[in-house]
Amino acid sequence: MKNIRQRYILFEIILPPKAPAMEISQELIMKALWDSLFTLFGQKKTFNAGLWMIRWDSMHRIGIIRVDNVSKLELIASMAFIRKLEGVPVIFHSRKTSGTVKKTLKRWREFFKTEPPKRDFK
Amino acid sequence: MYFNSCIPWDADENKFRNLVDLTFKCGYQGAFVDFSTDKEYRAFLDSGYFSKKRPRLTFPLSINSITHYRSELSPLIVFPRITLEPKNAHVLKSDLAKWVGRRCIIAVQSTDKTILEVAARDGRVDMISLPSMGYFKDLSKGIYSLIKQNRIYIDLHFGELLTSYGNKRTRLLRNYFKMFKQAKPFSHRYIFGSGHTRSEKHLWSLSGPREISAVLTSLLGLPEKHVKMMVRDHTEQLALLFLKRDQHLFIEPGIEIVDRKDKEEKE
Repeated sequence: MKNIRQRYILFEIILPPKAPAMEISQELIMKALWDSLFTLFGQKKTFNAGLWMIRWDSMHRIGIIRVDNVSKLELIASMAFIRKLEGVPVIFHSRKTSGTVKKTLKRWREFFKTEPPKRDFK
Repeated sequence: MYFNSCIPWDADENKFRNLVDLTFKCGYQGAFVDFSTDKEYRAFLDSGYFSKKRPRLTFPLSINSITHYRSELSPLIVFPRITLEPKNAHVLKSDLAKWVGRRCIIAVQSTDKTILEVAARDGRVDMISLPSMGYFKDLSKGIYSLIKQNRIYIDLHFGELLTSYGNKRTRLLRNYFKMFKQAKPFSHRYIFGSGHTRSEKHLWSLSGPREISAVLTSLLGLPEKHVKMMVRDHTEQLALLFLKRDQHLFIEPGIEIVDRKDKEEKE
């Protein structure tokens, strides 16, 4: 059996310049991702993936999502198929995949020049 | 270096600027700007996105030489591309004679089998574009063989897959699957771009190269090596081909200048 490890995907959501001001919540993104993954790959892949949002910055619309190493490509593929969030056209753009949170946070600071938010333990 | 195989030219400068910025944000470093008329081609050359004068390059050429074509106006390196949609084979031939001397990549798009066959035979055609499902049905094994023989690129658009839903998407995936079985990705030169078209429904359907690679690997089960060829390597090759043609490095068929020494260097 393949050794399962974690992968952390740094992604951003691109909105149209004239999009209505909307707060994209963590729950909304997770629901869209679950739906897209479920539609494309079915129940088995979806429950195996072990999706978890590690960080989410709703102001800059940047986040880090955790997934297992086997389902990494499936998650990125399902991200590509999300075209709308609450009727507003969006583009999910994955920037970097890493094996540790520390490295992903380092890339966050490097790419976006913003400080990632503290982890929410809710 | 990732190139988007097709972004449409827009006479409205703001719209085009937004599209270029969005393409850059999605992770592309270059793009082929698509137009269909002579007027649009001239407007593009006058726009400042593409240098009118041929930049001076240092030899030997590599993929980094492409950066000399970057203009101050845009973060992307843009190259012109004309998509011909001829009504019959005679029109195609006259169109090719008209466009072959100009600074652009020539793509042909048609649902007619005869036109596709003529295009696949013609060495002047750089690319056969298959933007949607309707264009697949006329491709036969013979045409694929000609395409392979003449080293023509097959341009596929991801936008179509993104904008289709339900069983239409499944059929499209099946078509791709059949196509990759008939014409193997390691022997044929596929280009899988984001495929942004002028159509209203495709206006917000750009996706980055990472996403396209992930879809091809996970959904269609292609090996990562072939996917990289489709998404990155072939577009780079096409850009280099354009650059060589633009710099008049092809003297005769089969003869190409690969290095040039300055007079001072010789002395």
